[in-house]
Amino acid sequence: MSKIKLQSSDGETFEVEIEIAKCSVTIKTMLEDLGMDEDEEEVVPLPNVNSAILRKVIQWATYHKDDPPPPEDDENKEKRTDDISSWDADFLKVDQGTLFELILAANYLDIKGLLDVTCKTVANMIKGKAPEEIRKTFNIKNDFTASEEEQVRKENEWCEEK
Amino acid sequence: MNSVTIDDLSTEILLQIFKYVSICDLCRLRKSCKRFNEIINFWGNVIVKRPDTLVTNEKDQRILQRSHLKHNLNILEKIRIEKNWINGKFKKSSFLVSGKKYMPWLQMNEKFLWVSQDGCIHEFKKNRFSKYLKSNIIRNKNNNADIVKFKVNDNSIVLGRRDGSISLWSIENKAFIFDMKNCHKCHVNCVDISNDGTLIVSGSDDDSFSIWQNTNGVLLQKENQIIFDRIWSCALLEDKSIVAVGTSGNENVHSLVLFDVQKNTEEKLSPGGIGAAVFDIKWESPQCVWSCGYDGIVSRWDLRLNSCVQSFKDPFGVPLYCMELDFNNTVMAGTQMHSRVALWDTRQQQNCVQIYFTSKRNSPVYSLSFDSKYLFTAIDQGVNVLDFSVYFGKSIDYSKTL
Repeated sequence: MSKIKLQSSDGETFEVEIEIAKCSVTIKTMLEDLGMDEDEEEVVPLPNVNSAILRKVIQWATYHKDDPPPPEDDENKEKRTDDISSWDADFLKVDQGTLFELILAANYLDIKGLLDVTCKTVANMIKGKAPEEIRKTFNIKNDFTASEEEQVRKENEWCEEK
Repeated sequence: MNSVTIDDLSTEILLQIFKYVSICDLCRLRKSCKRFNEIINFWGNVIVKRPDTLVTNEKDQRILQRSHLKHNLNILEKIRIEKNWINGKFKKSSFLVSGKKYMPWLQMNEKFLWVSQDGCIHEFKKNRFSKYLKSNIIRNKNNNADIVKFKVNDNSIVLGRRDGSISLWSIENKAFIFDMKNCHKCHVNCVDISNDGTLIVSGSDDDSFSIWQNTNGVLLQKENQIIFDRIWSCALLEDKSIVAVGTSGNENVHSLVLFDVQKNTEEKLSPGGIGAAVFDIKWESPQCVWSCGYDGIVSRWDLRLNSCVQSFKDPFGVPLYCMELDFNNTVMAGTQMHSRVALWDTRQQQNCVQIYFTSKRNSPVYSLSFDSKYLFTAIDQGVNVLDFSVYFGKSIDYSKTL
């Protein structure tokens, strides 16, 4: 199996099977567009991903390498968040900073499966929470003035009514 | 190294996340901080995917053309206001209240609302609802005969009067283009005008309907058809090819007649039985026309099949004087009694979604119009406005009893 070298932003190099690296559409396109010869000892620099996150991404991609390609989004279907596999759930038991970094990496590397599952994890942290709990969970500052807050409270009261 | 927070996620990524949460969660997110509030308000239509809302969908151009400043609501507002329509939550007010009883007619576009009373039409500017400021009164000093019906197109208003005359008013010039007496032998019960203003149709108590050619303000009769029955309503298809005419439905007379303007041929449809007069007609498309009337039923006719394909019955079986569509999934009709309006969802079979008593008076609703937020009804002693965009208030929900 041919391999490829990926270099993180902090200079660490990871040797990965090409098929695994190609689950990133960004890397796949890069290889195809550049016509990189598999025999050459070339290194793909990934300036937006640090080594800790790249290691996680490779771990995820290795586990999921035989997955069928994720289905296209059906716009009219209700989006579920309760279908995260137990391996993914364990894999994503990380601190919030890491979770967001994984989202940024998945987005940059264009790995749909990883982006979906990380977004679902964040969505699950939002669901059912009151505004104050949302702020606390994500350490968000309440930046509304008193009158603005009164206005948004008024505008959104309806969804709390039976 | 500083840890990455939710603030570091781009709008694009936040939208990916917000797609997974419920409508309720979105409302709570809007309350949590300014950035989320702005993103959800701006990108709501991308985040929320659901079937078209009832009343508030704003899908068809024709409803946007009569909506206040073409309001274009975001999806959460559409869902919120839809809920108010379904649950009967609104704020009621009235204007043009009078001690005398009239049979007023009303119509609106995005800027104005017109109401006929007596021999004149009151014109209201829409951005002044709170004050109901009258901006103009359309009146002809030389002809004060009662206005029975009128119809507004892009730049003019055609009026049918009780003395058999037809008048045309220019909105731009604020003047009558013509006021022609003796168009019919008696009451003109209905009028319609093409968008370009060249074709006018009218129907009368004199048992006939007429098609008129308007050439630069000169009215020429093209056609006069005797139906042997009182004509209550008429509606011209947008491309001017067909006139739908509603009669009293007396014995041997069909109550809905489609007249081909070019070929001079008739197609007869029969809603209800004898006596099922058709009081109002609305074209949805060249293949589809709606009618309502004395039998208390709103009917949708498919011209390709030449038959009624859907019908909605008033829960109290009361005659329906007028109707309005959103040209997507909503139909409303004004009933003969208690200033009452009924609302149906055309995607459901028959069941009435809600009814609204638009005033305390036991008056017919002579005319109605609605957009996403407001319902207007013209009753004997004034015009009522139901504002469904309210945030607070008690729901008056009759749906369980219908």
